[in-house]
Amino acid sequence: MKKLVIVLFCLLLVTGCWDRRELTEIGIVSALAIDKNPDTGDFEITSLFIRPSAESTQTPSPERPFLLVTTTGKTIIEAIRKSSQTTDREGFFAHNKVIIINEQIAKEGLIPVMDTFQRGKDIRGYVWLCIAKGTEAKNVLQIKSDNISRIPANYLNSLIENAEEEAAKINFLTYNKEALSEEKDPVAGVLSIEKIEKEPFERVKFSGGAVFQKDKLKGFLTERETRGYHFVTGEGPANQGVISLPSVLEKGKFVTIEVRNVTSQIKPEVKGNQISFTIEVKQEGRIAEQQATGQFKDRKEQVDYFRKIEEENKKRIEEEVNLVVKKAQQEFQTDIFGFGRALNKDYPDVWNNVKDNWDERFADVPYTVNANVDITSSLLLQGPLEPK
Amino acid sequence: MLKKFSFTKTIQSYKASSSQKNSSNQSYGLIDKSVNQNLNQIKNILGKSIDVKYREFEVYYQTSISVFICFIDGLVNEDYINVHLVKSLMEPNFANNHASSLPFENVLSVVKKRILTSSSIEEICSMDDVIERVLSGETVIFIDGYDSALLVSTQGFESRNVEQPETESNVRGSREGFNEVLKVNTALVRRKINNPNLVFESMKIGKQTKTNVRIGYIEGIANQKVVEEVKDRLNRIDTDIILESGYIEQYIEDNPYSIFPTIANSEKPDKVAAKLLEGRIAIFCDGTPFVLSVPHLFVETLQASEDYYSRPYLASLMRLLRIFALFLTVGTPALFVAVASYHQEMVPSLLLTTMAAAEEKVPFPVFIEALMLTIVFELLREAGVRMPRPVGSAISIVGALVIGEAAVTAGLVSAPMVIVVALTAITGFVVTALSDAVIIMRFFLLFLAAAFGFYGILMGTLIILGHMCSLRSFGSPYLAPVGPIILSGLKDSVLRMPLWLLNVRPLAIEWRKSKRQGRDNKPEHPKVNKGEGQG
Repeated sequence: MKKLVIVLFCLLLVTGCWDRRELTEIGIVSALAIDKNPDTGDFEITSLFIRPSAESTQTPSPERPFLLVTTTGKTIIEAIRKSSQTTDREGFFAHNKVIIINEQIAKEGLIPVMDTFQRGKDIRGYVWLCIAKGTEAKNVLQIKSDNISRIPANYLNSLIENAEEEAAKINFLTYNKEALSEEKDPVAGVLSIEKIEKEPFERVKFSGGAVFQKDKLKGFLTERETRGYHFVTGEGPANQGVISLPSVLEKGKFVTIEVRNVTSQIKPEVKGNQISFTIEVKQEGRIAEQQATGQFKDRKEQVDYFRKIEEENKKRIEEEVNLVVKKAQQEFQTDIFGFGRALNKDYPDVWNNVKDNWDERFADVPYTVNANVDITSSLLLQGPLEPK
Repeated sequence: MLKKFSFTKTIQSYKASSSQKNSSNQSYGLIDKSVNQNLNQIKNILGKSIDVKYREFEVYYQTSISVFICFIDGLVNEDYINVHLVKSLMEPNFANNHASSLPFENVLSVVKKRILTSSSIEEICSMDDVIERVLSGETVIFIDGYDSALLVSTQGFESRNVEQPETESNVRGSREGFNEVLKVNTALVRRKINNPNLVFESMKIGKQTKTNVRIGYIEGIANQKVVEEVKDRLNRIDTDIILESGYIEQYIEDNPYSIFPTIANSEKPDKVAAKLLEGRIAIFCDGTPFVLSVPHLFVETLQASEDYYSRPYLASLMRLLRIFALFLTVGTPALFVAVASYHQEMVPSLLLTTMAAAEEKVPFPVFIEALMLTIVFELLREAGVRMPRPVGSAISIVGALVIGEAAVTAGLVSAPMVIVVALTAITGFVVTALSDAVIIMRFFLLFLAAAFGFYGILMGTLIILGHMCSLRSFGSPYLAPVGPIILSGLKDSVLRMPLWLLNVRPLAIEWRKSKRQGRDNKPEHPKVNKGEGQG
């Protein structure tokens, strides 16, 4: 009994949670932008602090609900800590939503930059990692854009979460996993600033993808290429998005397919020294819009119509997949699709032989694309309508 | 130093003398044959009180015999005494009717058998008994020349009617509640269980108060060993005062240092009857509507009599809600404090922003805030209970206004904290049977959460659970049927299975297999005989 009491007291008093911070002591940081001063080579960290009183439900103050603090330092953590010189709250990073990284820094390699985030306990694995394309990273946070959320971080978070398949996205944990493994290279999300004609004259756009070789930025994918990329990987936001195909009924008109349930499989094949891949893409779709007018005589005609659309859709998938794989092979020489992962899974011995110079091998590896499309529904209307 | 020593010595000597006084059980001996002698003795014993009434008169039976009766004013029904005692005895035709038929020696027996028209008469020889019974409202008749007295039950004091109990109200089911009169209370239970096996045994506890206590159990259902244990513990009570069943509870409970009650109390006869039928033993105490029942298990605090009166679906849902409410009322302030001061990363971002916004203008740490509001709430509750009724409603309005609106506007507490404490309060009323333990656990966890975060809450919960597992109530494990697991008992714990499935009585209480019903109680469609077509 005495021993039990001692054990209980030890359990209580020898340990416990230690980092007590009152809500009024912490400054919730919900976005970070990392730039580099080209002259000094110092990092410039822009932290977006939330100003809670402006978000109060009872007596909201009219101020901006956030605070942008830019600090510089030789290392990331030094720069972050320096914010205490100018800001009255201790930074609290567990609710960080997005880390935006300057294109230039990404080209030099991200793993050294990300070290402190991995090491520290605050930043979480699910933080979105984005590359600012054609602009400084802090500009993305500073922009006066039209958005519904008053806090830019929340707005960016929702923007990324709701992205369709024209935009690649990656979180911090996945990025690290892929950058540190030989089997697949990461593709990160891209934020850019787009000029528009009316107020507020510019807005943030989330589209395309940033291709990395190991942890270094190699280049960008266009929207079509990003969609192709998602067809190959079969993951990500692939079940959201639409594809417009030329109508088979009427020239110059289009039919739009709502993409559902994209699954894909990369099958490696080894014959002697020859490695080849088969990419099998399966996609379901629903006809979401149909511009052509007309009328079907019977059921058979309608089914045939579906078949024709499926064929068109299939062609489109193959075309886009070819586009992106060619680009990855020829322009970037980087395996962003996980061909290596598939090879490792099925032929570990072969993989062990080729993994050291996989990027070169990948650049000219032959592949075939098999697409399989199933149009399951035409929503509430059966066929096209015909005005009479 | 010397002074202190002498002081303790005085106390000791005082204690010694008082214990001597207590232990010397005063005895008044036997009843004398002479009426005058008896009258003098009674006057000696009770004479100082003005509420003792004597009435001396003579009965003519062949010769004139002096008689006196004695009773306590206010405890007896005087009309009854006038008609059934005095009038019967003094009727002039008393002698004429009986002169020839009965021998002279048996006046006492004649009075008892043929004259007094009262249903409960007893002949008694000991003066001690006489004094005791007179003090409890009976009337004594002394007849000259006899060394025994007749005691007639004439109790007729004022008492409350059988009303709806204030502490346990219900929508469906019996609305009667116990009152302060012992025999009414046992009768209410007897009315629910018309069974000769229902036994009430009587005893008196309290050297000064001589309180009537009855234990009730059903022979054949209650475990005889537990009955013996209850009697034994009751007999061991050696105290001056038993004013309420709470006194008894504290003298006989298994775990006097525990915050958890291991003896149940109830104001509702149907509830007590149900407990008796499950093999428990009830302890009725004169002067209080609260009847104790043992053994008491933890699950009982989550059960309501209505669970059995309503259909199993709703009853099970309500049970789950009560368990949920128990966790909420114990843990909400602690969880909130831990989250707000240690684990800000655990709440959704938007909620954290709102919480931080609300906290922004509050000058205190979250823990102080929680402590203040919880104490204020307990104060309000206590005030609501102690206040004279007409003021009570004013208190609740002031309380709600002050805490809900003004404190937030004044920036003393944050709005989320008000919600947290309000939630704690409301859910606290769901598990009223455990309310005293809940308050202590709530503060315990609150302090641990403020000092150690979630880790503290976890440790606190483990300590509480471990403690609960160690408790026993009259031989039954407190957490049964969950710890130890008793499968048949689980049917009536977290969920309340249909009545037709609850075939056995609780094993944790009976300690043996005992069936309460057959197996085929499930309602079924009437069987249609194929031969007799429906025409």
